Amino acid sequence: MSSPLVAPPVAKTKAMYCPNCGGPVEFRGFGHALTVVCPQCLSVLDASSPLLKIVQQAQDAQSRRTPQIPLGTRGTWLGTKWECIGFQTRGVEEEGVVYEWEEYLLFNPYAGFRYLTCYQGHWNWVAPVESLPERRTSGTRPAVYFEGNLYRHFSGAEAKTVFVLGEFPWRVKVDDTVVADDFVHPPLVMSSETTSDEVTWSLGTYTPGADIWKAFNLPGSAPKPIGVYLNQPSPFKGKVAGSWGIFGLMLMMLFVIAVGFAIVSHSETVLDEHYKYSTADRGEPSFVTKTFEISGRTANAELTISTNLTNNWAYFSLALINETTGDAFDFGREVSYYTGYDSDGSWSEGSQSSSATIPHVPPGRYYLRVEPEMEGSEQPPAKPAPASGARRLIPVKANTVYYEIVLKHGVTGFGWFLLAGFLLLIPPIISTIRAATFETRRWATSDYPPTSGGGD
Amino acid sequence: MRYAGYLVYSMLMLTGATVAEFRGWTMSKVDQVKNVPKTVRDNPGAYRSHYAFYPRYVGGK
Repeated sequence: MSSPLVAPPVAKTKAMYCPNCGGPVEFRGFGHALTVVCPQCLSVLDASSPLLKIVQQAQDAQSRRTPQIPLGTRGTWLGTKWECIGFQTRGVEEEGVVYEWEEYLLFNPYAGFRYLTCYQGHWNWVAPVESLPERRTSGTRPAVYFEGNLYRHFSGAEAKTVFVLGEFPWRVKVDDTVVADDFVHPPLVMSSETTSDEVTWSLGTYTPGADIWKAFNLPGSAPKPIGVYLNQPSPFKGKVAGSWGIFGLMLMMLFVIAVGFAIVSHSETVLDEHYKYSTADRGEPSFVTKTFEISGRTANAELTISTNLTNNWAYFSLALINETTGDAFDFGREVSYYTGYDSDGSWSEGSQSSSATIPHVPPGRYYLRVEPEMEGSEQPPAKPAPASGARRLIPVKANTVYYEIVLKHGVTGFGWFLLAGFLLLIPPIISTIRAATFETRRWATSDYPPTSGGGD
Repeated sequence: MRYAGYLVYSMLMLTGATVAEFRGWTMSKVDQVKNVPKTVRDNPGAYRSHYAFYPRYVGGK
């Protein structure tokens, strides 16, 4: 808090001149800078010497990079004012491809230095850490433990400084190299930089570019991030568990409703008759049952045909006909059952019974028309062999089936509940797949790509 | 709300299943025929079922 009598200190820049090109060089770091880069000729200068000794001659103009946050830009982050005083790009080379990222050095005379890093639109707010993380392992890979979080090793590589601009509290020049390792615990990343002299650790927090733009009042809008970054928080984190939780809850509700239906359903057997059909019988195979009463509310009915078929089939054309209105439900059911032995052992196929659900059957007086059919139904029955000399007819084997027809009204079918349960399953499965895909994309760029078991 | 979409979807599924069950809807292939003549009662062979020429399975392993 500032006193009303004493105005808060205002950071002022101090200007000197580049010994290489004579251009002005500004200092914003309150004397903390050890290195400063001439903005005109890009010479790297020793800021600790009063005459700005040249550390590195002018950088190649081809290597010039334009910072997204111009030097001297001030912004407020988490209640503290910061000024961008330095900018560098660094890169790692993998299989002939150089991957570059930007680092912005921020300074506040009371809070010290912080960094912003940017790679393909992914930003991190980085602060140096004062205590060392504890080295551990996570499975087979290295990890570090810091302030209650386990950070898993993501990648390690030699990072080279490509371009520098502004001032820095350490000695920096183009082509400096460090061994950089990243350990992730999204949205956090612990980074170590190892040189022959020291190891420094910093803690980065993934930050949306839009927040940076807002904090530093930058023109336009932040470029859209490309791909998935190493510590980018998964948009599906927590969603997967939550959606499975809702699925479990809904499944329980579905079960309760289904059980409720089963309890209150007035399932009633309205027809239960036994019949026999043989292809040897002459005459019309179709027949109608006795008339029966269906009462209660409009509901579905279930017809079950149970047979004694073995290694045979039968087909039943069926019609449930309302005697009063003449409205009919027309359907058919095939029953077939085959069994035997072969080199694999015993086998069976089909079933001796079949059922059909007839929807929306209103109360009334009904009868059932049944038309059974089996192999040989349309052939004439075998006749006795005629006198010798006459042409012989091949006798046709008669097929016979004994069957029972049961018709129940008001039966609770659980098909709709099963279907609803299956449909409820789709969103959590999609969530799970998308979350796994996100993690696969994250770890694909690591030293532990999922193909070698890194995306777990 | 984070799961509003899934909750609405779930409630629709639950409601749909309940209504379908209550109304006695099924996914079975059943045709409805109007005005079946009363003579079918006395002459069942006069009725021509929609499924009279349905393909039969005559298989087995």
